[in-house]
Amino acid sequence: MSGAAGPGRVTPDAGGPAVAATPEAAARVRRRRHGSAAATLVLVVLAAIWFFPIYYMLIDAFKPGYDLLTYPPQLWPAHWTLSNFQEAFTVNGAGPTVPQPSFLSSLFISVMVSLIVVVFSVGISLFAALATARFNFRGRSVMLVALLVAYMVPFTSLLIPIFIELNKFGMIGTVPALIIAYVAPVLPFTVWTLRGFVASVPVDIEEAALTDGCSRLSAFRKVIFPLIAPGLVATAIFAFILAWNDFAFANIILGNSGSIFGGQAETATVWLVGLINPSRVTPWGELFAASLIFTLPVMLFFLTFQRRIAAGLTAGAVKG
Amino acid sequence: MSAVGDIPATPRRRRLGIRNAAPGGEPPAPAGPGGVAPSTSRARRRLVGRWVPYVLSSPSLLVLAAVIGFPLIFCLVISFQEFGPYQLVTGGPTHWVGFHNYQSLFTGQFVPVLVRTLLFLVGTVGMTLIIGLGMALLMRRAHTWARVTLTVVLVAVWAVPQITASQVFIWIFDPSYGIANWVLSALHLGSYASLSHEQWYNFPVSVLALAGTIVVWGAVPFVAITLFAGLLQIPEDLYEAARVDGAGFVSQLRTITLPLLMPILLLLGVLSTIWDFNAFNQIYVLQQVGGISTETTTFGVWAYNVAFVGGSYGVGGAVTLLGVALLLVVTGAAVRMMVRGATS
Amino acid sequence: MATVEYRHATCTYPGMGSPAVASLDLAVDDGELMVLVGPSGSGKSTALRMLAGLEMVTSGEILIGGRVVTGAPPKARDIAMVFQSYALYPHLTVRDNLAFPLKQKRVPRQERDQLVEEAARMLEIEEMLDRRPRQLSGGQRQRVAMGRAIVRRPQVFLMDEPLSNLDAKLRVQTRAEIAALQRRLGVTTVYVTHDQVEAMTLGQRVAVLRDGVLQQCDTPRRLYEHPCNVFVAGFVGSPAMNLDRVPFDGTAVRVGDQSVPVPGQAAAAARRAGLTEVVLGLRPDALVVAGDAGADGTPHLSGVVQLVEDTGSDAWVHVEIPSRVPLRVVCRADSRRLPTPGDAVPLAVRAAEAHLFDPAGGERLGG
Repeated sequence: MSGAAGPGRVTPDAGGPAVAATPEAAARVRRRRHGSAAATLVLVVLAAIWFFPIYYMLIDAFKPGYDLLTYPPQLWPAHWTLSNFQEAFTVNGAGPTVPQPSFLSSLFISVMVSLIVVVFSVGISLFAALATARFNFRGRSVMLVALLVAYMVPFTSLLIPIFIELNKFGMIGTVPALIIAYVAPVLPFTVWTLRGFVASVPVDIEEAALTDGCSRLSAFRKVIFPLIAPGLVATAIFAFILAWNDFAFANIILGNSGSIFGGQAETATVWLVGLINPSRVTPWGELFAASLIFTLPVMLFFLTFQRRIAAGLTAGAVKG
Repeated sequence: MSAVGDIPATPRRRRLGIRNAAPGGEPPAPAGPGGVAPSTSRARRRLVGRWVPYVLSSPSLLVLAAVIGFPLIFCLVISFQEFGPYQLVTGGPTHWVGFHNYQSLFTGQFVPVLVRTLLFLVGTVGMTLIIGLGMALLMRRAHTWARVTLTVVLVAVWAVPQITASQVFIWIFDPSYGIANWVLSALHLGSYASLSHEQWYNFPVSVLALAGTIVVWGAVPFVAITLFAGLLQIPEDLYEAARVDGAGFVSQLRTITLPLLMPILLLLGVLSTIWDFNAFNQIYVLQQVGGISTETTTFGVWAYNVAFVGGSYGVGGAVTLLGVALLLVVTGAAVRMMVRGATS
Repeated sequence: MATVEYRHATCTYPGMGSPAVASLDLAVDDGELMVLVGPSGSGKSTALRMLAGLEMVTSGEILIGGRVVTGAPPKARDIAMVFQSYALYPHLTVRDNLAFPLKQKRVPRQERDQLVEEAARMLEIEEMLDRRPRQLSGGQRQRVAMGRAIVRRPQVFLMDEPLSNLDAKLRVQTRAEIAALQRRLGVTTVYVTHDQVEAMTLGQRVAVLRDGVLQQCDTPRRLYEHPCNVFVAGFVGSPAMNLDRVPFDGTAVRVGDQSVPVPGQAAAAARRAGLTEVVLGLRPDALVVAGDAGADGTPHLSGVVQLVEDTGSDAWVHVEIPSRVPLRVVCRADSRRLPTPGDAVPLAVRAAEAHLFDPAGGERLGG
């Protein structure tokens, strides 16, 4: 694809990959401070529509139960309460028929599984990214095609064979099984994305380090690594979220039979889905309180790193 | 008489060895007075051992082979076998059944699921790209504060897990207490007055439309943000030139914006297709609420249901492979272009 | 301080038929500023990168200070390189950029600070020491790149088109500064450029390359006055030398309807080779639009003015000389009495400055 494919392009001087256009382009947009009023109005309306579900989740997490089940619905809580959060953590899901593991242990499982998957995947894919972005070797293009195909294989398609394989080894219902399963979608993503970030560091800079007295290894450590570090963080966050948000694998492979603190455990997504149960009234307040706790950390990370995450998602695909 | 002494053009060298990258951020080198541009395609050569790249990439390749390559082959194998709960639990003998699994699909739900999946894809990918492009174009023209507001909102939306998004939408469209029904009846669009019970979850079309809405809601942010970044890369002087030439908004869009955004649009189209094809969470959660599943099943959910609900893993494997094949057909041309871009 | 020597140094990229640099033999004296010049793809950058240790030497040797460094990594060569893109470390301040090579050499902190300050003063970038590269203008970045090279006092400076990202005016100014700096530090320097004006003004000697082969290595004056072949003749000098294939009768060449006697040595060489046609090379300076014809006995050609380029100090006139195949030549003109297109003008030929080349191989005929 052509170099005009913008988001992949990276200005090394920006301290690392970023979606940011050239400074001139940004200045041009800035110069046009007097935007069109009509466009502004439409944008504000669109922003309101897109924000509404988040807003609704936010306020409903603070409404007491009797305010939730009212008609017409309240767009601003008549009463504020923290009891939903309390319940989410104490009542262990409060299923009348099926006792659920606690939300806290579910969160713990999710964090642990996602972290291990990310550290492992980013760790080994950094080397592969270096190899494919900085070396030319026999089989390089075959490898790239294989990576892209792996990146494109639908996540859910792998569920059945991976499930059966793990079952053969008697691993279904264990946390390590879930970790192994998550590597499948995460690893192609991290290799492909990191490759884009490494390729965006000009070769000249690496060579300058070599002539300035670095070895190949110390040039990587002192020059390339600091330059791709922000991209590395963005890649890690997105990889984390791939595992964090998954429901299908977690439901099938771990179910609620993971074991933690001696009790049963499942991932946070499975716990949340378990709250909606046709056999009883859904505890919406509790659900949204838990959802909020589940969502907020990710949201903060995204708000901090969004430019790099967006760059990374497209970088690998548009850069040679 | 022939002029002699002219400089023959040397063929551009292929880039070799250490990969070169565009030195972004630096001004383009001006052509010298002789009109000879400085060479930019310097050839690079490996300065370390031949084995280094293989050693660097082998851990990733081995793991990928184990968790993707092998399962895909295994999937192919069991799609020709009878593989049910008995084989799963006991590890007992499997029978080769030839194309029986595939046959049972084609006589069964295959066509309805295929049509449903394609319609769902066209709807979600189309809406995502259209809304995303529209937002990006508006962002370019709107006041800065509006653009920043929308960006923050979009990033927040992007970060909402699909499961959470699905649950919020289920609550918004709750038949008894949902705000959607209240708004619709307030606008006299719904069929009921107070406590309207528009039963969104009991009809296949509305379930899929709702699933599509959740998918689009969550997918627009990435598309809009990426397209806006792409728009910023288009030099303003192109638009200035077009305005001088008398081009209006529509012809600027047609002759400048869309052609220059095409590589990004293509990429976003492919990614959206892959992601929406995999839309599992949204549909699955809606099916849990509404209790109708046969009429709302798309490819991803189908494989899951056949294998883990129906217990026919062999048939599920066949569905999976058909799905992969279908996805390759749908995105084939675009993916070929992406591969060319990455390996050239 | 050191000498640099290429001995049959060859670099062939895998899968490529012809080498990028073919059996290069070149010796750079201690403290000399050697310019490698040539069109793109001529192998000049590859030759420099071989010296830097960034490109593998397929065969032959490279010596720095009499020591063979052919297989040594860049860091073992005690060189410093200025890149076309400057290759400043974007994540480091100017100060840290300058200190980077010193840190690699484990220079103690105090001495390091002192050397950095010194280099910054020399290049007048003291006020920018705490900024990042992206906050600098192109010219300032160029200075920082220079500073990073000089700060560690290497044996050899390598410069790869260090001026080509600057605008024309700054380029001329910086060119003079580089020359002065190099003379002051007395460090052996190999400088790559595609711009022959830059090469001629900067180099103590200039090596002209083409398709990976060294054509000629000489002082700028020698290159201008005695180009060894048609390629060098056409590449060096601006405006370019007029090179045309003309009939030769043993003592003189025929241009249009006039016979122009050529220098004796060249004529003798052409006679020995039994040529009836030669390539005649005339600098625009040797072909002057004369006020009146035949006054001083020099041979005169006549032609019709096609185009007049007046730069203020110089004026160049494109003249077409009628012939079987019309010749178009560029001539110098007196800028106070410029002809206009369409005028028929007489051209005075300084025949003693004519160059002759073999039409087959392009080699120079005579001394």
